Amino acid sequence: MRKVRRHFEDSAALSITSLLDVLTIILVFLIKNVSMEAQRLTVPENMLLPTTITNQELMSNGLTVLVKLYPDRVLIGTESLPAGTLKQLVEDKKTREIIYNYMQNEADQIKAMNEKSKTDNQPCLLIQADKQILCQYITQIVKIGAGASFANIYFSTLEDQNWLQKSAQQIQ
Amino acid sequence: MAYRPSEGRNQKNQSPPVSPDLVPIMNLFMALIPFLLMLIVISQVALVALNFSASGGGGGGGEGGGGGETAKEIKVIVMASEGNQIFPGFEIREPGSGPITIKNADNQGSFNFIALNTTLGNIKARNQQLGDITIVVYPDVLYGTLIQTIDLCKQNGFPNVIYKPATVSYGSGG
Repeated sequence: MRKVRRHFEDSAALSITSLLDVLTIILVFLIKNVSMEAQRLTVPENMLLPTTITNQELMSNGLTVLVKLYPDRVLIGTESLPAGTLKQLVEDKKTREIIYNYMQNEADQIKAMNEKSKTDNQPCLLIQADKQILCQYITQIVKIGAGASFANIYFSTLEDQNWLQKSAQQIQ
Repeated sequence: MAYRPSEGRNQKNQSPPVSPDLVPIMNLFMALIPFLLMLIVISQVALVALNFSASGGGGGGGEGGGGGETAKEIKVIVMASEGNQIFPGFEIREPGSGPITIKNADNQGSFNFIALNTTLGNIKARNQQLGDITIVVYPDVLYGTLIQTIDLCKQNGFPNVIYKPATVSYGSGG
């Protein structure tokens, strides 16, 4: 008796083109979020931000200059350039001058850009500081920023609508 | 005379179009995406603003805000340590009435924000048109406490917060 073998067609290769499309979209989205601009609105590593109910918008024509205050160091700019320690910020005039010059330079660049491209961008100082540091350091940075013609100063916080209730529970 | 076979008969030898090999690209993507996901910190970051241009006030060491007629200046003094006439807690000064003190319940820096919130609400109820408030902060107060005090002022209808250090601070920035 003659055996009849069923003929199987070659299995079609798995099409991964659509999957690739999805991954490309996700990749573009992630790269955008990780960009330098977005870093300004993310929580810096190893920093405990204070919590607030208030969440204000950054002014639409504001260009931010970032200052990060850690308990052990001060970092300036999006590039996180080291600018000494908190103790130096208070005691060392040279450290304050370095920060002041950086801020002034950034503010001047924004003004020059405004003149060149006929825009009205405003320099904004964005302070990201650990909630455990003392206000004397914040005062120092605010003074330097105000001196370097930063009229708008923002503090980064974590939004928490219930922090007041939580603090009440702590007291009780 | 023999003719050569027509071109159309040789189609059997042509290979089907080869699709590009996407597997290495997929591998690259699979490595990149988890890496980028790790970099993103998913949290709701908020901003609290201090505006130094609005009423000419505000700012560390700057003179008090507001021009115009003699505006009522409400001060919230934030203190963290015990000393001569100071205590850990808040003191609220409103012109025309005595200072209101809100002392900390313990020595562990637990500020009574609930009482401050209530007091600010009462002050706002008495001064509906007032939008400015001055926060005077001692150097040893924690930044977190300062921000939460500013937060409560803004929540109680004082959008223009003027920030002042309590003591004459160190040299000028530049």
